[in-house]
Amino acid sequence: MLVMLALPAVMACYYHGLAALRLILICMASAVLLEISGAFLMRCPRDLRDLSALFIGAAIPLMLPVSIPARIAVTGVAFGILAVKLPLGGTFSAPFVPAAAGFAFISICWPAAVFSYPLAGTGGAVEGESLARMLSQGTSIRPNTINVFDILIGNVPGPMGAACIIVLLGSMAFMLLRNPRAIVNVLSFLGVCATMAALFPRIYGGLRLLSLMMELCSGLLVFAALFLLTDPATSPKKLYRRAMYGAMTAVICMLLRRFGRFEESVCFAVLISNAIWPQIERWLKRALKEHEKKRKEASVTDKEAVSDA
Amino acid sequence: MPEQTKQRKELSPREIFLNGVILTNPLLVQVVGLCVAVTASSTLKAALLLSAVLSASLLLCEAAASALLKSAVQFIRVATYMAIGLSVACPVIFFLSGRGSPLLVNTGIYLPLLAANSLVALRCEKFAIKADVPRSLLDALANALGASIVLISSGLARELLGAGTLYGREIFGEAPLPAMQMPFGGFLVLGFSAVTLKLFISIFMPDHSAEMPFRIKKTNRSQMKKDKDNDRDQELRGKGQEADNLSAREPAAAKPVQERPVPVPSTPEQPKPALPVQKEPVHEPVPKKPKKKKEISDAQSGKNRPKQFVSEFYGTMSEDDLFEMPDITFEQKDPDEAFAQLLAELTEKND
Repeated sequence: MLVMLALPAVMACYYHGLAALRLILICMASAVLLEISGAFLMRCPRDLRDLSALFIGAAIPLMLPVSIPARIAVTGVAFGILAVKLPLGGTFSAPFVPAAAGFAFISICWPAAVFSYPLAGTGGAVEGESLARMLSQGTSIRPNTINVFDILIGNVPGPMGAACIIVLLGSMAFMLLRNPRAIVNVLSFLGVCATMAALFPRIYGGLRLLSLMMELCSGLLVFAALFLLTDPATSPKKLYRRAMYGAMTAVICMLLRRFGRFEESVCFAVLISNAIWPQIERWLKRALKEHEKKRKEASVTDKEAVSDA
Repeated sequence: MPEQTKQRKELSPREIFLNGVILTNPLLVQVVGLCVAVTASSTLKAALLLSAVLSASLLLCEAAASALLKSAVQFIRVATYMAIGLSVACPVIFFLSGRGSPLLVNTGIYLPLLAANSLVALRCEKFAIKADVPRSLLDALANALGASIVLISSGLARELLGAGTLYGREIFGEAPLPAMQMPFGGFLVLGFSAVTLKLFISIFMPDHSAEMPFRIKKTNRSQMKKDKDNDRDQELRGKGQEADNLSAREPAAAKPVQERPVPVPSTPEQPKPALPVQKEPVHEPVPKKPKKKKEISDAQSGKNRPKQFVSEFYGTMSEDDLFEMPDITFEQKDPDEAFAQLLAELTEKND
């Protein structure tokens, strides 16, 4: 995952310069320090070898604008590690994705700072209008408003690690090679998001294809699908359950995007899915057991009928 | 179990106080009346007001429940608690609305709702109606203190972090964490307070730490495996200890009885005749038992089986041993009569 995160981090440094690199390094260093000190204070056995602290420290700043003060980003990292990861069981047991929780916390605390994205190449000086905000304002996107190529290469205002879609597609290809099971989460999530975007467009004139493209490329959608939805602790193990989990998160995400308070709500959708999914999985298992039992009973009765005949 | 319930009923005043304030803190351990703590106590002023009203209604309700309502029906008791709660809350509400205080807006619906607080009903029904008035008052005081400490500390922390003020006075120029003013912040503060309380109890009151209802998970897979192994070991040890305890409860006279394989059959006149059967060791290896049973059954096969049995019975023990046995028949009756009765029963059974 860290290798996959390296690609968007490089693009963030390319577009926003040393400010982005400084923010990422500060967050990663503080994540490691917080992990060590938190584990010491909470008397938890610390295991830095799983690199989850570094992942949280790198993922949270990549979801933020480059102009955000470092203390806010570090607060998000601290929340993810000290309030979610360590007290709730650690890397392989925490019921929520720590990076999503950290981002959600700072987006509730400082929404203005978190959702004001500067133009690329201005060093954070000039604030721009992100795609997600334009979509949330209803019919502000028209054909030819934005160049599609700029969107794909990330030359638009947005989160510094999530704006460049081509690089994220490269990360997805890497994931396909390294962890092909996890790609099911991503594809089901993006597929349902795309379907809902095409069915319920939020752009002027209701152009479905453009709506699909804008929705998928705006905000943190692809980034969250790749890095938050595939978290090993919260993601289901079986393939069809992975697909269901991704689809459910997508539905929640698109509903929150349409009716929610914030322009970017994929992290909240992930957290809600984390909370709901264990119960759904329990119901699924129960239903499957009952189905299996009925099938066995039916087969036994069939055999008896055959033997009687 | 009856001894435990008896002990619970007869808690000392110190234990009642400690339970109410720390060990079974109403908000952090019993998790009762959370909505007030989470939503309404976002400032210190609101927390002080809510804790004062809660304490007054708790004290009055528990006193009334203990003194007057022990013989009343449950729904009448609960209605009475609500009436008492309203009699405390209404004057405060009228006073604040008359002065046009913003506190009434801050606390919202939760101040009138304190009249029907679950904490009041719980403590009254669980403790006050079973205890005398002084104990009930002490319990009310302890629980009110426990809840008030949590409410006030939560209000203080949330106001300081969420608004950057303390009792309305500005401390920080900018609010450090504005989200702490939301109910979400209340949950966070309560969660961390519960962890702090758990740590406090585990450090300063280690005897009671096992009674706490929640445990913090371990963090990695290897540790989880170790925990599972430890749990299994503890279960096995627990079983072993139970067996040891059972055998330890037996009197010292059990040893010679264990050596004798022949059981004493029960008679209707003997209320505790199965002493040798009770003294059968729990941890004794299982496969030996069928062999003994086989021997006995072989020995008992035949027409003169009762005689063989009796001869074996007497052959394995001396006369002193026989009279040392805590057999009730030998204490109550003549030994010859008891023996004749035993013999008659055996013959009946075997026939």
